[in-house]
Amino acid sequence: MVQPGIEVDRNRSISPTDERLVDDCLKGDRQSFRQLYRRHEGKVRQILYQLCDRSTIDDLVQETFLRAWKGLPKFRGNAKFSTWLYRIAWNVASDRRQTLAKDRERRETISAQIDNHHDDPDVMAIHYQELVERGLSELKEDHRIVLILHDLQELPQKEVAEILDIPVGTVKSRLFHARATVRKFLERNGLEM
Amino acid sequence: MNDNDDLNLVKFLQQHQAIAPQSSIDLEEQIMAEVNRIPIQVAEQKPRQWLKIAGWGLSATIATIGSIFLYQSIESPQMNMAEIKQVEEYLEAHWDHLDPHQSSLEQPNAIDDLHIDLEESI
Repeated sequence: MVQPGIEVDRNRSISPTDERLVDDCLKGDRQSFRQLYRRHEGKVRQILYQLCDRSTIDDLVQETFLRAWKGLPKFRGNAKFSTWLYRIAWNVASDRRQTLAKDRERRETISAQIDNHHDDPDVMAIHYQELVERGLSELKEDHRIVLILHDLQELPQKEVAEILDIPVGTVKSRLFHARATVRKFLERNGLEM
Repeated sequence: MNDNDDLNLVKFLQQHQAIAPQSSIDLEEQIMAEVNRIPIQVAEQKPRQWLKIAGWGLSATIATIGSIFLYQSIESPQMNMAEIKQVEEYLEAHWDHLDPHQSSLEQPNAIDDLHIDLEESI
């Protein structure tokens, strides 16, 4: 039988739950925070990477985890730790909103350079990647985050709603509009979805 | 546009999304160094919670007591000094005829007397 606060992961290894690690952090155990970092860094990094200026990605990840550490005493455990952490990441990204415009300009420049080399398969893959990036950057920020969390990070709509503190109905509506905008963008660039 | 279209779109976006590069080697240590520098304010959490609960408890108690007093002041008939005096006089006059070991049901006459006398005195 598994003890409370312990879970068995996919590899059948036993590891403490996030909630247990948070409790240990609150008792001053910093190594538990290291475990939380290792567990969630990848997803936080990917979310921030889709949202912000990439040259500062390490700074953004660092800021997210430091805000989490400072805010742990206020974490009530009403939501999952990961939900709370992604919300912090979203706040960090929002604070850096101004950099998004610069990033968009940079992507458009790169894309214009790639447009001339469509024949090579590797170049095609880069081209599609650039199209996806440009498609995402076409979206309003509050639509983009919904699409990133739900479609790219595969979080359930309910959790997306909790992260962004909006009703599930609003998530559905934003997702619908976000997909429609990206689809139109891709179609304008010669791709049928 | 149907669910399949959405599925194809999502699949395409997932397949071609930009993947974040690995973090720099020392990022974890940099973060942990900062974490070690910042004390966690554990002491703040529980007393605050207890304070909150105690606050709610106190408010509820005050509200309950207040409601009881308010209810009593509205619902209970207030006897004035003259009425109290009459009741006292009645009890003094009839004290010896009341048997404390007998229930009121077994003393119907005594109760009736009391009722009649009180009505008369008022």
